[in-house]
Amino acid sequence: MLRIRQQQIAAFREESLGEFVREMVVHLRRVLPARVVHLDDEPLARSLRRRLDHALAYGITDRLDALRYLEASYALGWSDDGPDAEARAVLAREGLRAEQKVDLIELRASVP
Amino acid sequence: MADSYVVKDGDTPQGIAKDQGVSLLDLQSQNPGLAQSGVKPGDTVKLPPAQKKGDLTTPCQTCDCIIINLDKPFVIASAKDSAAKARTSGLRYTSPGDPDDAPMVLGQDATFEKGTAVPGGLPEVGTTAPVLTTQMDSLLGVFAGNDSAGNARKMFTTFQKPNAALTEYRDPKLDAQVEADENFKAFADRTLNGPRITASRRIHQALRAASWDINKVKRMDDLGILAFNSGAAKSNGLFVMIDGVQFAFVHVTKYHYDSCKAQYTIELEFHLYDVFGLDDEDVKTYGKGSPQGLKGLAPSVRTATTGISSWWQLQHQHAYAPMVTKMVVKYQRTVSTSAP
Repeated sequence: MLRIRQQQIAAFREESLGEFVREMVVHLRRVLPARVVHLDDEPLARSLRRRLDHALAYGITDRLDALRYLEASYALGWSDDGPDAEARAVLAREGLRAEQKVDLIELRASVP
Repeated sequence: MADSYVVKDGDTPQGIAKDQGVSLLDLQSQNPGLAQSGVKPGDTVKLPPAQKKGDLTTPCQTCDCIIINLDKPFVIASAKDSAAKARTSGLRYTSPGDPDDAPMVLGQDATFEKGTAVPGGLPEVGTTAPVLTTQMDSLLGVFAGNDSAGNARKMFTTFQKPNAALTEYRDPKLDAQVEADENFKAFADRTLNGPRITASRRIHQALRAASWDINKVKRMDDLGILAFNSGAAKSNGLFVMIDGVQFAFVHVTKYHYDSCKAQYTIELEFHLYDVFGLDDEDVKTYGKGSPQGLKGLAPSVRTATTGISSWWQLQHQHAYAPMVTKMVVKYQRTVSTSAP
């Protein structure tokens, strides 16, 4: 018998995040090809994983919100070390839900 | 989801994207002019594929699911035909894959010899093997008129070779015929779930008592017996090939229980045994000249008495060895644990 307890959740969570990153590699090559063309799949996955960790640390855990955050991070030319100053200011704002913060960052990234 | 959207009054590109479960940048990538010119009512925008929903940090919805799998296959239930047990020949039969601790004690229908007198003072219906064989074949016309797969014909021919020793008869086509038969389906269903009959608990109830842990369920040896005596079996050959199964072993070969889904999936493998042979009681009851014969049945069926006597004579006067018929049939179900 296998009883899935809290200590096993980490493994499931890691598997789930890995799958999401693999999907994001494909997604970015379709949506923002020029922004990621210089990275092969493996380096891109490593880059995505670092940026995803930042998103999770900011409380962005919804799949679509995380996707939008990651898109914006490449569209706005962030490094793998974290968001730029303007985004950090948005993410630090109190009184906004994670979704609303991502809305603001996404709008900025969508301007040509 | 539609692959396009007609813009309504008050819509914004980001609002459309969020309503459709996609990102704004993805929407822009599908509609190159969108970033510069925005949208106005009546415009049609092309929609990208919707993204999956959910939270990345809670892949397990309850985080306390109980999963139970089968440690190793085992026999979870068995059955014996009490009539066969009463007419024992003392022959003990085992077959690979079934438990050594439960040998099948065969009845007199598994014996064969030369020159035995027809019991009960009943008449002989022939003296030579060719005549008896032809008369035995008349049973096919009576009980296997719809033998579309040729299974009954094949079994008769195998018996009539003849064989010099008791052999095991296996035929995947016969297995398939049994699997499709309504008598088998009903038997398998009530083996899994007892409340449908007036019997004691069956596998489903035993699982509940064991908190759905299949590995803790003890073998049940009190299954009722399976008989192919109704529906299509009366004319497709199953009735004359088998009728009542003498022994059954039910193996559980796969099992998966998930408490979060409140269900389990179980695969059972039924090993069914019968003897293709006749004993003295058969010929005394249904043979030519029997006081009982096949009274009460249609005239066309009553003609089968000669066929039955011929079969008995081939076996007990001409030493045609009977066969142990083994059928292996899989049965899989997914069952809600809320089922009674």
